[in-house]
Amino acid sequence: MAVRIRLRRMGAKKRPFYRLVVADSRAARDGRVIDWLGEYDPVAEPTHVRVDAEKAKEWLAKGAQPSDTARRVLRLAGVLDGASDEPAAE
Amino acid sequence: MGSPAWLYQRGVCMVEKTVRMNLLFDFYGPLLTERQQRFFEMYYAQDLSLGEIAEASGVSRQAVYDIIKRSAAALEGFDERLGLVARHERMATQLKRLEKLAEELSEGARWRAGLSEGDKRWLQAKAEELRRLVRAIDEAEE
Repeated sequence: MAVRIRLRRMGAKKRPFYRLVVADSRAARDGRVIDWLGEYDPVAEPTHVRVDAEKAKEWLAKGAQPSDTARRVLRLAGVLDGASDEPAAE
Repeated sequence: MGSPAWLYQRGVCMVEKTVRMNLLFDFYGPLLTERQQRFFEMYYAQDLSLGEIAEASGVSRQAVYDIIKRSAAALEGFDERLGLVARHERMATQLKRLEKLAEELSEGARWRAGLSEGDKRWLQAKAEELRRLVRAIDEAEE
């Protein structure tokens, strides 16, 4: 199963926050989420990032592919290191 | 607060770009065509890849890319002319300052020496009025 880690926008209009979610790539449009890994709030000061590192590492070990933006949030949370920050082939 | 240097790759900070694009979409999204809105929302709000959008929509990856790129340019163009995002950000900063001022007034009313009980009640009432106004302006901005 092609599993992706995405940074999905949530929140009200003009008051966004983002959730780091695990989803099946083949059901890209239906919005179903397999797991929640954390959140990213760009409006908070300072910017708020919270990621369940254990869970995120488990999904990465299972082969889940983060999007470019999800990859950067995982780095911001210290889950991914510099060597693993190759941009996805997009 | 600036972003850490490692966030910048290929000259672009992807997360900040995503945040900006979604904010532009909140303000000017309805000015795009229905198809532009759908693809833009899938790409920036749902974080689907170009390939996933193409597959789900039955169009080529290149077509998806072109539509999203044109949409982003259109949104930036609207904002250049109307400046609503910068106005919203200025307003949000000023409202936060006002909230802090109301908090300081309340604190001052509680702890400052030499104030009569009447002065304290008056200051608390003014601080509460200020908070109500901030909430009303905030809601009107939605």
